[in-house]
Amino acid sequence: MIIFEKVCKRFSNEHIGLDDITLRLERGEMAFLTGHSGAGKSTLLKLIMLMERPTSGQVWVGGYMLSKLRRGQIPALRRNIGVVFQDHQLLFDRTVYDNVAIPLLVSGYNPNDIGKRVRAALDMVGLLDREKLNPLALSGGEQQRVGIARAMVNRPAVLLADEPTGNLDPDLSADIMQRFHMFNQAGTTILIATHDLGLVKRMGHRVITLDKGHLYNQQEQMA
Amino acid sequence: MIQKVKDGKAKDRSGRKAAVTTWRRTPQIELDHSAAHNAKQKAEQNNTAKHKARRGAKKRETGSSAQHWKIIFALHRQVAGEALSRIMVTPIASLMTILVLGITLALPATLSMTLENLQAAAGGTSSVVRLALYLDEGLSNTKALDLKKDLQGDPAINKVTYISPKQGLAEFEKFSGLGQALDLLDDNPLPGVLEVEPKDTTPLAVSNLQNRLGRLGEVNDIRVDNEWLKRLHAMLELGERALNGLTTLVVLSVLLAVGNTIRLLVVNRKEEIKVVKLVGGSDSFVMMPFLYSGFWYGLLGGVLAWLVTACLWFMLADSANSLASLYQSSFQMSFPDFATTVTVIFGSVLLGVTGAFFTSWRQLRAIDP
Repeated sequence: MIIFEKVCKRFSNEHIGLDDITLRLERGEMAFLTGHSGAGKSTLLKLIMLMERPTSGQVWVGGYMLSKLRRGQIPALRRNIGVVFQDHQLLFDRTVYDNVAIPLLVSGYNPNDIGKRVRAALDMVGLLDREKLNPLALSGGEQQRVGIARAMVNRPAVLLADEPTGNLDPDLSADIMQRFHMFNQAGTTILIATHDLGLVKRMGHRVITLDKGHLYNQQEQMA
Repeated sequence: MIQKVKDGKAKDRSGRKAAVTTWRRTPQIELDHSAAHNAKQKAEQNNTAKHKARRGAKKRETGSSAQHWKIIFALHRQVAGEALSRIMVTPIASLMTILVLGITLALPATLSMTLENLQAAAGGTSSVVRLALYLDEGLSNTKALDLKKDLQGDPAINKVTYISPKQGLAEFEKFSGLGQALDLLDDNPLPGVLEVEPKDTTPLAVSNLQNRLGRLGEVNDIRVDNEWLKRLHAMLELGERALNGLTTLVVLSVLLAVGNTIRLLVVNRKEEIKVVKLVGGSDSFVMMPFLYSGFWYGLLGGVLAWLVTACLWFMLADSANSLASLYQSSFQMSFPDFATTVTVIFGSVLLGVTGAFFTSWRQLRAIDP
């Protein structure tokens, strides 16, 4: 589903983001991406959803060579990738409900379906009673969960999460991870960047470790 | 391989959205690739993924095209409504923009209305270009009438009217208000006049006729009272050119005014645009609200421009009509007609949308996440 082939990413200030990454994530696989901050986790995720373009090398997602996608095709790619952002990327000028509905609106869903899907997604993260609130009125953890609901609302084929449990207490983190596990069971390909190593170990999925832009090692840990 | 060919076709057919549909349909390719590497359980997972994906794809496809259009229509209505309410939220700022548009557009609209009316006024009299043939003094009435008969036979002449010196004096008394002064004169100083209406009123034909008639022995002098018409026509042409130039300038300034307003809107909603783009909003989806803002600004500005023009008409119509009556013209200043109204409003809307399009297009490139 996601293939990196000799991918390098250099930033304009000569900082090396990623160096010679070759990586393969199968359809329906769930993996954790770990490493210190600055190791290139976020950069790797950004390459997958074309927020950044690699300096060299190729990235395939869903059978598409990303370097060949035209500008106009990027939205179609992103509709198939749900992303949980580290900084949530919520809009504070509208309700929780409207925030979660955005991916459905942009993909042209039937307005009658939107309500059902949004409530299902909010129910999944346990925020059904908050749908009319402004995200500003929510705690950091709740905002994070709104972000997760928005990432999952249109049931994308791929889910990327950048530190999805960064602001959550351990119980909630475990709960959210359980949800991700469930999505994965339903067939979604999931890549989660996190530095919560304890949680990663407990979950027992594949771990991809980055160190200063290099691929450190890949260990298959099947539970 | 077959699968791949099929995908290629599907891509061609559905164009841009192909990336979505083919993705949903093609787990097969990936499966072929990965089968060798994969454990059995993963293949199973793939299958479930495939089924799920297929179900999703089918659901989206089976929606009839009528339903599809209904959704699009609902979306447009919603976005248009939001754009309008966004204008209403900042009434003062919006009013300023609308005033700028309305007043600017009223300039060429008013000028065009004035020119049209002048043309109508000029056109009304140009059909009666007259040559006044002043006959030799002392030419008898009978001889003058003979000449009139001759001229009436001329193929280039439409109508000839004879004004005898007596009639001429009577008319002069009546219109000049110098009746008593004229009584002091011993005899009638006015010559007989033949008023000739040519068939062809183009300047060249008229001057030809003038030359020909000037050679007649009985004619002392010829006056053609179309000089002022020529001047008016020249001025109207000048006015029309000025209108074209002014319209170009106004179009540019309206584009800039709308552009600037939209630019501010885009900057204010930068965050929202970023998020919408991150979850897969296309450029057209992101631009739509701004295009509708441009549409509303254009529409309101156009209506205002029309109102301004109409007000000016009310202010001018009375005096114009009384001026026309002084020239014994039946001319009535016409109200901006339907075509003008449509042109002003539709043009304004077009300008609003165009300005919004270019600005938002340029701005969105800068926001690209």
